[in-house]
Amino acid sequence: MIAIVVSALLGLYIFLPDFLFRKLAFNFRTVTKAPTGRFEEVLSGAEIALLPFIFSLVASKIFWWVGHWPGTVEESVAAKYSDYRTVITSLCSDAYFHDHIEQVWTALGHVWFYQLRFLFWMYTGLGIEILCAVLLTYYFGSLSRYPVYRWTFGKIFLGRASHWEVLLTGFAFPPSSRPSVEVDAMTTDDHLYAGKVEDYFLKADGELSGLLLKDFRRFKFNELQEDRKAGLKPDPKKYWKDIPGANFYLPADKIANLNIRYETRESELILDVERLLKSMDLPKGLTVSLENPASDESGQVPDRTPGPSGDMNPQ
Amino acid sequence: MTNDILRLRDALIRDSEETHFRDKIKQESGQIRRSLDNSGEYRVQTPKGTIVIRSAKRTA
Repeated sequence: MIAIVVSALLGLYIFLPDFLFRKLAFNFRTVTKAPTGRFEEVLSGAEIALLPFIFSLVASKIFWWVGHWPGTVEESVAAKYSDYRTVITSLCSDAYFHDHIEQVWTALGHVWFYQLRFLFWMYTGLGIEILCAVLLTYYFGSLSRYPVYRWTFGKIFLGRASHWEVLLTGFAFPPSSRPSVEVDAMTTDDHLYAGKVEDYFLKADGELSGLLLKDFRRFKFNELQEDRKAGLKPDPKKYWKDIPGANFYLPADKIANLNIRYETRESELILDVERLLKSMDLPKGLTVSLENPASDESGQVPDRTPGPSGDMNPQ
Repeated sequence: MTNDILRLRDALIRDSEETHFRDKIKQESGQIRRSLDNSGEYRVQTPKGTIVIRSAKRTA
């Protein structure tokens, strides 16, 4: 009997808060560690549940209505502790349970009520914790320069973030200027692809399993080499070829290396510069425009083409 | 791992081309002012193209 009660308490106080937190608060891919032991699971759950537990405990001491709402049991504090003693003793001894069955059931009803009320406030605290975690994660790019953030939230929760989340999304940048992530991917069979990272996938061990690209192109390296051999002076920028299709999946085991770039969208770039100029001591009424934007070049990708030596290392 | 994520973030921000040109604009506020006074415009190269800042007088 006591094992069932302990399991239920572990579930309600540790595993369920941990499960809810992982599902709702982590709006980033987490590191998937090697199979964890039971102790590590309990410790990890306790880490999450500790703050709402303390919140509930402290709030019930400070605010009268937290300790008495929802619902109240009309009894003294001494009677409350007596109820807990009765329940624990009956769990440890079947004889005591049978001898004091009426008293045990009454005490159990009270304790059940106290626990539900405590859990109500604890899960309220958990909700606040999840909301804070979502906001603090969302603003990681802006807040991560502050030591207080790094030594508190950064240390407690962000240890679970996958480094691929930082590399392949705009996670590290402030939300107001989150760039698009562009990659040049060299494959193991010497093909060079460029595109915008739409999504990425991880294996069970947390390693990259593949990339989903949009607006992708392939570099026609063989054609470039042939033109060079023919004595022409080809412009490498002209050798990027759009690939028909909307989604391009690149398995990670085919990727030899990745060149990752974080590019501000053109419209946001101008707004960014305007904001920057306003913050500086400059004359009023400045206008900002963008000339020769990269997208004007027939979709060609500038400055990322193989060198004349024939090597295919993206610059 | 925590420090890795934060270090990675620091490296990305530090090496971001956008950060470089923002820093350049901030550092060259004096030069921007002179250029705007003299020619009415200031140009800065970015990975997306050339940002052109024009004064109201020049635009008119």
